[in-house]
Amino acid sequence: MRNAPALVVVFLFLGAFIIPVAEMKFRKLVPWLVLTPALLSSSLVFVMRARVWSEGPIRFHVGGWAPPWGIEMFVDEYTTTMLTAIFVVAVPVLLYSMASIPHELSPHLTSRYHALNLLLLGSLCGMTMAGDIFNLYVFMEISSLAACGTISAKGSRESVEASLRYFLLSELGSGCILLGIAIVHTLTGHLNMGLCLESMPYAASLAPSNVAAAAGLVSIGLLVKGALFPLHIWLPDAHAAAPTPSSAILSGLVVKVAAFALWRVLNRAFGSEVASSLRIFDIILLMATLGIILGSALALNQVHLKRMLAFSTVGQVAYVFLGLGLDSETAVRGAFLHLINHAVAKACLFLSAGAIWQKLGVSSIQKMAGIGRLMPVTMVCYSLAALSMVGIPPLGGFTSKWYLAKGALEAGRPFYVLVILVGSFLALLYTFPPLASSFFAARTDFRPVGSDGFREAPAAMLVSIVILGAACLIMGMDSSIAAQIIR
Amino acid sequence: MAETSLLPLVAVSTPTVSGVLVYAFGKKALSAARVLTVLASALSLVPMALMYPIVTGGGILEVRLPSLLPPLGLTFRVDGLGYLFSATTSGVWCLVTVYAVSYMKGAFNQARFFAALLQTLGACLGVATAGDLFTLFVFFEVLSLAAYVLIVHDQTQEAMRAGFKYLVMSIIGSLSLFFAVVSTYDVSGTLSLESRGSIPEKSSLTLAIFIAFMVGFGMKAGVFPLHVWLPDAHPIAPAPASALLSGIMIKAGAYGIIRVFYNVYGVELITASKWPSLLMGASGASMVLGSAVAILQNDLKRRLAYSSIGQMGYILAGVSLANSHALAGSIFHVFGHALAKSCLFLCAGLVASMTGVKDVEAMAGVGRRMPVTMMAFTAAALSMIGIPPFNGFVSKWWLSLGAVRAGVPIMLGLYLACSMMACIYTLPLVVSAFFGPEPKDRRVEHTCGFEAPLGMLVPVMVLAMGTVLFSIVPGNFVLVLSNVWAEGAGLR
Repeated sequence: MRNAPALVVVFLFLGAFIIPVAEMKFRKLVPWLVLTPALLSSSLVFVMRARVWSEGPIRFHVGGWAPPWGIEMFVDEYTTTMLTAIFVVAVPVLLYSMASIPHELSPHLTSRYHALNLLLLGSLCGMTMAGDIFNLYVFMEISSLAACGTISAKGSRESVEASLRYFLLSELGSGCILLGIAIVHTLTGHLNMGLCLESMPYAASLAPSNVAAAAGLVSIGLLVKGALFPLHIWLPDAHAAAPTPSSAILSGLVVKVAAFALWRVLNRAFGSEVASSLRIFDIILLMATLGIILGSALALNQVHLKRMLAFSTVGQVAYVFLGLGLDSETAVRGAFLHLINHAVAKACLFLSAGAIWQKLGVSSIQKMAGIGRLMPVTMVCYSLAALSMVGIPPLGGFTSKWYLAKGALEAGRPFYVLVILVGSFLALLYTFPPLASSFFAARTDFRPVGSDGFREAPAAMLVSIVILGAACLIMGMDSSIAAQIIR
Repeated sequence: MAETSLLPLVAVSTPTVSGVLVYAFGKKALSAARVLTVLASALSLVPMALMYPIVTGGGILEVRLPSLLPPLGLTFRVDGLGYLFSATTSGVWCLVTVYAVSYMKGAFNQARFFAALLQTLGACLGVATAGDLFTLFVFFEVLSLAAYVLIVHDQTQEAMRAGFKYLVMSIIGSLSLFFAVVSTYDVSGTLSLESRGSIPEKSSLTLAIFIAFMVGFGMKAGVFPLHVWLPDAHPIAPAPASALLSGIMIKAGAYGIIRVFYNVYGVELITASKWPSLLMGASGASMVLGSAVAILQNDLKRRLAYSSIGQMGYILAGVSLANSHALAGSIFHVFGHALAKSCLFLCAGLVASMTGVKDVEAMAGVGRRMPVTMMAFTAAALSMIGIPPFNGFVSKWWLSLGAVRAGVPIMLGLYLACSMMACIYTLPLVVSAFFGPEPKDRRVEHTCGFEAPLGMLVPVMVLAMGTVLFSIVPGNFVLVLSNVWAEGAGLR
């Protein structure tokens, strides 16, 4: 089990490479090849979690080469938390995609899409566990390309356009990051985060402006990928145009991993002195404040359900940045909790939106009236997730908002409590009208898509929606989970 | 002194769990769902009865569930005040549920209505038995959301609009409450409602927290100027739901304010500061304005809703006077008004469904067609006005005594003026109902009989008897407990 960190990535990548090959001969095996690697990797994460808890952080040296030369994978409690978030979302989403992708894409694309999805997940795990910054960069590039592929998978004009826009902006960010990494390497001679951190004070005393430039470039790049306002402009189109499972993964995980990576790099490679002397956290706080309020406000006047959910991600990911930017213990804890809670809730929302579209052909908020009577299970899960996002007890989002607010007070910045509250209020305003009309309005004339009439979505889709909806409730009800997220 | 007991937990979880069951299986087995609804609300009375000897003996029941609901866990704790509130809640609820089962017969989507009815009962009991502010807040929030379902049940355009207004206002309230609770935890390090005040000192922050608490709870209590949602939302719901909204749920706000005054801030801090005058001003205004506007309403249920705003003013003014007489009067009025207002709304619902009369002006002659209903209405109205020997008189007596003792005689004047206004907005319609000439064109929807069916009449009669019973039988335990709790809070 010493190889566990590497194996997590390897399983997913292997799956990605086998699927297109398997498609040629054994078409029926493909769905199983999607889920198996994810299940294997998630069980490894489970094992690693237990080990990190009992024995402390795992440092795995790829090929047995020690850090100054070799690649290090670093797994501590925060990493396992992030990995848990990835798999809690990924497994239901992959299950869902097995049933929904044949509907959404043309048949010759399905297996390629599944392969890209696994590639994306593997690279996200790699980013999370990366112990050196260049390694982080490599995985990030894989994730950007894979994400671009999945966004454009539908092949429609708007999805290709959104994918291109994402590609351009994200590569701009990658360029910044690569430049920053190069500067760090010239300053310290290292790429390993731990070693960078050791020589950073000396480098900062020698060439403070170079260090500032490096930190700034890396931060900007990761903020673009994390879609923190006003660098979010690529997000709404991309998340709305992608196939449903990808929307869930992009909104739930990809932006969160970028936020996590930023926090990681600032704390483990640059050190908090450099970050605080550059006031990076203050800038992040300012952007997060704008993101929470304006992102949510933009979500208010959306017509399409998926676009509304995408804008809501802009607002919600800003909460994560807010918690990380406050930099107090409770706030960071809140940020991690929110990261998971929002990932689960947003994935559930996107999957429900997809199920509604697939069964009833409804994609605009206006036309949702009466859906609650037709698809009660889906809509109850949708409501749980939406209310969790607003932060209503006893759902998961409430717990994270509690920690964030408490953290803001502990940091002596009660202003941000106000920001959190205003954000919650706006979230209610944009999530509630579709909910209310779907349950409490008279049914309009629906035309069912498909031959089986008005029914819930197929079992695989419904099960994954229910798993995620139940997770929203359990996250809010069981305190041992919140306590275990980060001790 | 606190003994561990699962009774509060049983009281809260019975309706909550049954509510989920009713929603899940209500469409397939409606009659079973109706039986379960009545059964669950009746069963919530059992723990109340079992708690009675302990609480009247001065005991306190407590149960902690640290593993449920992060970050602080749930705590239930029942003392005299909590017991009074929860016993009133489940008593009135049980009667209203019996009424609702026959009232809603044939209505659409009953399962959803009954499920929401049970959820709100669970949430109300949760608020009343909460042992710390965190638990209280959680149930308060659940209450707000579940009540939305009751308000918009008819799904008319009007109902949806009133419901949305209600929801937006109550979310503003609960966000303000969220701020208050989190900051209280930050300032005092505890949220327990055990102490007689955990906020350490007077400062601008604690004043801000105080105001946030008042906004949060005041929103639900419908105190001026936060009442704007109330006159739309309360009357639009089906009659049993209006009865509970105006009779019980509105009191959850008052309950919270009492807890904040005497368990979170404590008597010393409250009496040393001028903060109660904030509440006193607001409640005086809602008393006068609520009662005055009630006179102008032509729609009976709307009139009753405005009257609730006025009556809540009585209760909150009593709390803000900060002495034991006034507080005991307030607590007793929570009880008395719960019986009276739910009885009034149920009667209004009966009149509307039997004769189709919704307006005050059209009430003439209704009393002769539905004598029992209108007698009950009259009794409840008299109690609300405060005429001896009804409950309302007892609470008004103690409230007035408190006003005099606190040295705020103007409040005594307001109490009397509002009693007068209550006469004006209830008695003329009662008189015309019994003695007025019946309009010729009255369309009687149920030709078979004039009086309502027994299933609805009995709960109304029990409530009406309750409005007089407690003040005439010796050993009025509600009043005794109110007094004991008020003195126990450290008030003189």
